[in-house]
Amino acid sequence: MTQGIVRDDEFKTFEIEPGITFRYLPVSKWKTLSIDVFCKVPITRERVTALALIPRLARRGTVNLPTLRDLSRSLEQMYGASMNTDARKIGPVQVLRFGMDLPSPEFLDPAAFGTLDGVNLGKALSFVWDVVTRPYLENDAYPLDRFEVEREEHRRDILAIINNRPHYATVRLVEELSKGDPRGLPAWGILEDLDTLDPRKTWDIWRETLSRCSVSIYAVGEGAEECGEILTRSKLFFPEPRVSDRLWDIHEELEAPPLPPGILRSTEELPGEQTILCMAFYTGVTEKDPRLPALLFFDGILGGFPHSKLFRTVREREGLAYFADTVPNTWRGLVLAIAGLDGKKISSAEALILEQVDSMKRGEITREEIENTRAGLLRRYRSESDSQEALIRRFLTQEVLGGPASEEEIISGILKVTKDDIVEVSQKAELKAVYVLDARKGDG
Amino acid sequence: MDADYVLKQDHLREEIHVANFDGMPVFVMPKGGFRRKYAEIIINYGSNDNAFILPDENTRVEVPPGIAHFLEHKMFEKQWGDAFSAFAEIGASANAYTGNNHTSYVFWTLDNFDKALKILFEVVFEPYFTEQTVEKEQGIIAQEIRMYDDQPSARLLRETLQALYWHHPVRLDIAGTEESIRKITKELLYLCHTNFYRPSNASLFVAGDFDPREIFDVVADLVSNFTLPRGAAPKRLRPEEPEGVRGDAEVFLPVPTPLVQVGWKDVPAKGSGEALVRQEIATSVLLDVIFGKSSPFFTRVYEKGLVDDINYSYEAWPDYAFALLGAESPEPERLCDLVHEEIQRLLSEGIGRPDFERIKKAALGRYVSLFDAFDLIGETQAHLYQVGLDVFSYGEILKGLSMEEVSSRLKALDPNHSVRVIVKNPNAKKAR
Repeated sequence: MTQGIVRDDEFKTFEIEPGITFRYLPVSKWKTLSIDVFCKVPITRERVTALALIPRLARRGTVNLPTLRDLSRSLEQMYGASMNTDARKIGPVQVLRFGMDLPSPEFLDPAAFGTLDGVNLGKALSFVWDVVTRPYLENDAYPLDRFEVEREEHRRDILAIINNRPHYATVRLVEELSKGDPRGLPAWGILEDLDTLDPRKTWDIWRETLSRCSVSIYAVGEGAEECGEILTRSKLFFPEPRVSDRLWDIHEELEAPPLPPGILRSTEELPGEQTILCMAFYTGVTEKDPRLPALLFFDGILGGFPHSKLFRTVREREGLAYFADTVPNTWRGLVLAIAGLDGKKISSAEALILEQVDSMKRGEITREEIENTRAGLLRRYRSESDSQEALIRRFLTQEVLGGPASEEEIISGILKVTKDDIVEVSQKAELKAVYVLDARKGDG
Repeated sequence: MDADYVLKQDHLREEIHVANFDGMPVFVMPKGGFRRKYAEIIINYGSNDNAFILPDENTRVEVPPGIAHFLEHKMFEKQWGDAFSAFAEIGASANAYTGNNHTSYVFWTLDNFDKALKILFEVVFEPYFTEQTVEKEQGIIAQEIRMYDDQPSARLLRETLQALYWHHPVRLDIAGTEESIRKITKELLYLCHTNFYRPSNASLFVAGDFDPREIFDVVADLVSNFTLPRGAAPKRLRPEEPEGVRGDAEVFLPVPTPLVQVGWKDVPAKGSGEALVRQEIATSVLLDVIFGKSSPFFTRVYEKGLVDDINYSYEAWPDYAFALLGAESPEPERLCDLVHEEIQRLLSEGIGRPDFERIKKAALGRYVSLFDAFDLIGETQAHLYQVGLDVFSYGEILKGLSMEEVSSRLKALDPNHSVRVIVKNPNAKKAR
């Protein structure tokens, strides 16, 4: 199995067994220890929806702690540790996360507790590993009542995406751009497929996935090193044996799905107060492209910061919107612009956003815009070393998509970018889609 | 210069150095090993302060709702340009927030901390408003108001506070309404700024890997270079608020699943600031015992498919206090009934000691984790300082919390002082 090149400027890494990596950072500046298990799975229509249910089913109970209440009590006994499970997506890979944040025992006051019982890293690790691999089952399947509740809640979760309109707009835009291609499927799966699942089938899919997926375990904070010692000493349990030559290679197919020709236009009506405009610009610059730092500047100058063109024109000069931002999608080489507006102002806002991109193509980028963006990007990346979550996210993304992970590499890339580099990326930017979530119609 | 005094907690290995400048307390928390440097100026002035008496003139003033938030937006625009860009030029990132009782201005940076702090002082203490910029801001804030109007959870909170309170300004939207912000003028903005943005009504919190003495030197320098108004802030006026609630409410939005919130109107503890903080801590722990994930109640409603998650919170201020419990639920009415039934059950049976001990233990652990979040520590410290406490005494109160104290807070969850607010889909109504 091919592993991405692992650069260990920050994290120390070792392979526990084929396809299972442990990465740790024993730094004691934080008050909590963060432990995360990530299972990385190539996304397919057959698996995606079942696997999206796993983070929910996993929280319901394990062999040793069979109920939700048992799990919750156990976390409380570990001084208010929190458990977080979710399904996310990095490129075309579905990533299931099972994590725990544990207050570091050495900062607790023994006088407040009598004795500091129950703070034991071995116990915390077993807890997390049980959540991943030893769910509470009945007759080799998830209990039917639990399964039904979780499936229903998951259905509601998917439907509730619409409650956050800007987020919903970007989800719909990406969905329109990916039609029919499994690589474009969302991490939460497909609504209609929920009904095709049953408790046994879902467990079978998860059991097989566990035997074939690539696993990364991260530990960051005081005690991280000890976690590694415990993991190497113990044999990790899997419900089905893992065989090296059957493991999935997540790097085999990393290409993003092709975009449809022309400019896709789509409008959806949803009664409300504010219309959302979302535009997708394709640059073709992706994670491994040497022009990636220049793409970050393109995004930053266009809409990534409060000193950006969109903030200054759409919001501050014209007073059209409260938010007008951009976000890069470095897997697909896209930059998405998004703004919340009065429905009557949609076409003027669209023209204004296009005009900002065009001005960048013409090289109308000031020294100040470039330097402010450089300072902003340097701050963003350098300060990641203060956040356990940001560090893990960066290295995990690199594990899947490749590209730079070490701070030094990223920083030197940002330092080198010139105006010409940014203009070059700007000139590649091509409008591919416009999506409008229209609040006006249906008002009656 | 040295601190006036140093607050410490040995087990946490944290210190906060405190000094006072022109009536403004400055808190410095050294955070070794962190690269980020953080600063926050907190003004004790928020969306609730719409009526007040001017200190010199004894005049009663009423200003349009939403003005504190409007002022916060406008403080970033200077005669010399836009302060966001000034922060950006030196590699800092800035933001601001308006709450019911406070307005906060923050930045974080890796380098140029002194320069960024100077810009922050300019942002907060050197107003610059013109008719034109005020008018433009009305358009931006109108869009902000509409954005929140479209967020079911934001609407739920506002409607719940409106259902709980008859007159108290906490019932109003922090941003005001499109109508109320149209009444805001540059003169009114100057009036509010002059009266509330003064050192005696503010605090500064700083965290990062540095020597507190150096920070105090920088602040001393800034304070001597800015013309800062002296004297106390105006006395705030609050309308008479009846003890009872207004009543239940329903809101129609295109939500896939209904959202529900139960609100309880409580009476804030009188006497000392400590009594108020104890009330807040004890009630929060009680809510955890009753509705937390380890409670029998949660298991019951979760297994019935009535909720996926329950959010609850409690706030106590000198002039108001309330508890909230919210969830997304296909059967909101039934959930509310079960909530009240559970409280009735506990009133007769009492809460279990093992549950209380376990929840308290978890709360103490989470208190430790709080120290990784500079912003939360800053706000907590500023808030507690006002009532004569500090962020470490919060831990001490939590440590000494008794089960009797927590049980006695059940009275805060009296159904007679509660409301239920439901956000539902108008189409679902038609279908029925």
